[in-house]
Amino acid sequence: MKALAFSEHGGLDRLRYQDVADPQIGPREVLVRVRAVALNHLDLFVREGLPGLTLPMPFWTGCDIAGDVAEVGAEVRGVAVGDRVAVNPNLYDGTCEFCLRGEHSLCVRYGILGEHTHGGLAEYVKVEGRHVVRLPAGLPYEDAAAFILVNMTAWRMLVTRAGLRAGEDLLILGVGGGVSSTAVQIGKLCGARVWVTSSSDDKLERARALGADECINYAREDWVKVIGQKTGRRGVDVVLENVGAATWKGAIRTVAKGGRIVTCGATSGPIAETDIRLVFWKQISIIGSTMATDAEFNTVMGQLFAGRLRAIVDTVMPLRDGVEAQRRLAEGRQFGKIVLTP
Amino acid sequence: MAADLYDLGDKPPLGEVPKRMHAFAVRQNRFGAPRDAWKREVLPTPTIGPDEVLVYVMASGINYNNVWAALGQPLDVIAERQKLGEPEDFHAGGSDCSGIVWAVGKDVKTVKVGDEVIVHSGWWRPDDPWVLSGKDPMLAESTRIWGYQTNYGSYCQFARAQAHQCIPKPERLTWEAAGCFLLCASTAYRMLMGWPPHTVEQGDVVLVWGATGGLGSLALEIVRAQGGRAVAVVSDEAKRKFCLDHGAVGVINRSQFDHWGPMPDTKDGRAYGNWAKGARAFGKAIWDALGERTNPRIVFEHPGEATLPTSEFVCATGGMIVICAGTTGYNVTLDLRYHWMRQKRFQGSHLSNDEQARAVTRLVDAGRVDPCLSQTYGFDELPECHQLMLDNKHPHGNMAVLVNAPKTGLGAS
Repeated sequence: MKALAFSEHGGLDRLRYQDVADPQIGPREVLVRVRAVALNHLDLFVREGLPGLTLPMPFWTGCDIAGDVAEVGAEVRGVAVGDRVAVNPNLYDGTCEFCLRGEHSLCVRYGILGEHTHGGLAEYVKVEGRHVVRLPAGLPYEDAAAFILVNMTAWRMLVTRAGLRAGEDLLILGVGGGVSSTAVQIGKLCGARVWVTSSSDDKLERARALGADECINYAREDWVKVIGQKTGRRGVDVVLENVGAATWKGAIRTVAKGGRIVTCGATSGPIAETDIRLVFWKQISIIGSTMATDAEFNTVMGQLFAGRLRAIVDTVMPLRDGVEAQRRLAEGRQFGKIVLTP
Repeated sequence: MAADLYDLGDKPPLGEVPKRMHAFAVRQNRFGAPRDAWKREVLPTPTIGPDEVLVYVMASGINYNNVWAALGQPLDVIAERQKLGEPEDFHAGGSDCSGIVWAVGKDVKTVKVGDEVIVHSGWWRPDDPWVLSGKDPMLAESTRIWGYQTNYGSYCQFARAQAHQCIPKPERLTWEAAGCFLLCASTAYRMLMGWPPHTVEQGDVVLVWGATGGLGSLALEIVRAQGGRAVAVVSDEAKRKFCLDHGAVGVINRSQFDHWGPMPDTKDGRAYGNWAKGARAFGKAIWDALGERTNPRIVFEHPGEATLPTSEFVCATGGMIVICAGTTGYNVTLDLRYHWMRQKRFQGSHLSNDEQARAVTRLVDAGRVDPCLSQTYGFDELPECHQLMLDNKHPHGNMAVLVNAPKTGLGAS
């Protein structure tokens, strides 16, 4: 089959649209014919190489996958050849203390399909039989693929970890990214008033279309000051933070007493200077979050299937143009997800 | 007819309030070393509002906040109150006491004159909309620490408090034991039990920094009472026995490590490597202290700058670092990667609400938590007690001073 693969870590020039061996499934696995696969920063990080991550070369990434079931292992029940499915990318051992209480993304051997095993930037991918979910008729593969990872992540951050409730103020820093942009609609679904920041009026406009109530262009205005003024110096209940070093001090100042800052990444760097007086005087909670449990995956996919949340697709391109697609992501030009079709 | 002023321990008739009283106070012109800043004065006895009480103070605890008050740093509490319209040009502080209710405002229904009480230091405006809405008052805009940010605390012969602050005194305790513990105990209780789902459960491992201080020793006691396993961190071998006596299952001497302070730049391979080596060795010391390879689900933080990077490192996956102070400094570098990958939580906590103060007092009343009284001093030794604290030479646990109680050992039944 074809895959967008690399044989050694490095820049975009390492990627080749090339022939690789077809995957062979085990008795508990299914083979999925990939119809759409969305890109994540993770694809770039893995291509460039991550400390401690040794991969079987050639390797291809791709964690956000939708397609058709092409083959079913002997022990798999409830899945048939021809089913249109989306793939749950969680990999875990199922036996550690965290798995036993359903906290899959805390698993001591946690991994992600397409980061730790061969992924969906290919014509076929093999997946555990219990990790495919059937798509409703009429839902495009592109939408399903674009939806998965960022919504798992944002749902766990806002609903499970930060406990966002109706009537609260939610601030989303840097609204262009996949997690941040979908967080706008999750925030609205929860009944929150949603504040967003960006340096691009275009991205702010798109966030407004998703339901954002207050849009601040941080290139023109001091967002900390604006939020302070507009909330009567109270601040916001929840901050969704995945910028890191560049916005951290502002996040700590802007969160209300008893508020929560939930973080899943740091595009500007993970080393965060923190004045802890504000942490204990305001009694704020700084919460880390990664991916989601199987239960959260199923819940949030259910929101897509029911039409309460939607996929945010930036562009759809053929898999053979994957280099161009990864460049667009690396340069941060997108709003929402870039989807590739093999 | 009541006299104008009574000597300490010389009781006026119950319910009669003299015009003046003895107290220790700080004034702005003597901000500085606690032994000189705190001076005994005769002050007018304060009047009370409709929801307030006057407490005839028998014994008072000593807390670090009144070291800050003496220094005038980081906050000039007198100037802060004057900005809000209070006329007094002195700070008569004190945030922990046992005593007898001597007068009550017209709206007070929960206590009456003659009741023996201890006072917890959560103070807020009764008309604060947040409080009226029934939410946790410790997050209200008007919330203050009684006897630090408010005047007429427990270093007065008659202290002024809001009725809701009064909790029945545990009968089995002496005045000095009852008066010494509540600020630290309620703070520790909120940290350990107030932030679900990270509350201490059976078998949970809790790492307690500064375990021989007032706060740390009560944390050890509370962890044991809740069925958890506290690993105590101390800076000196001589403190080991104290920790084991107060409920620790193991003790680590942190002077055997040298990676304290800000985390080095992760790009500086050698410096970061050394730091990481120290942090890992400290993590192993926790396992050795426990006798098993389990990381702490809760890390009880108050040193801050020197220790927080290590706390963040050793905290278990999915666990919480909870902090109420930064006694070694406030500027902390967090490595957020541990936060996402291991889905940890860093939680600020401040004093406690009424419910939490009562809950920990019940544990003391039931004999399940020891108030950790270290030593009792005379009223006139009060400045020296604060000086000992500033110089970090105070005895392990919580100090008390006698106010109206004529000698130690009284008040228990």
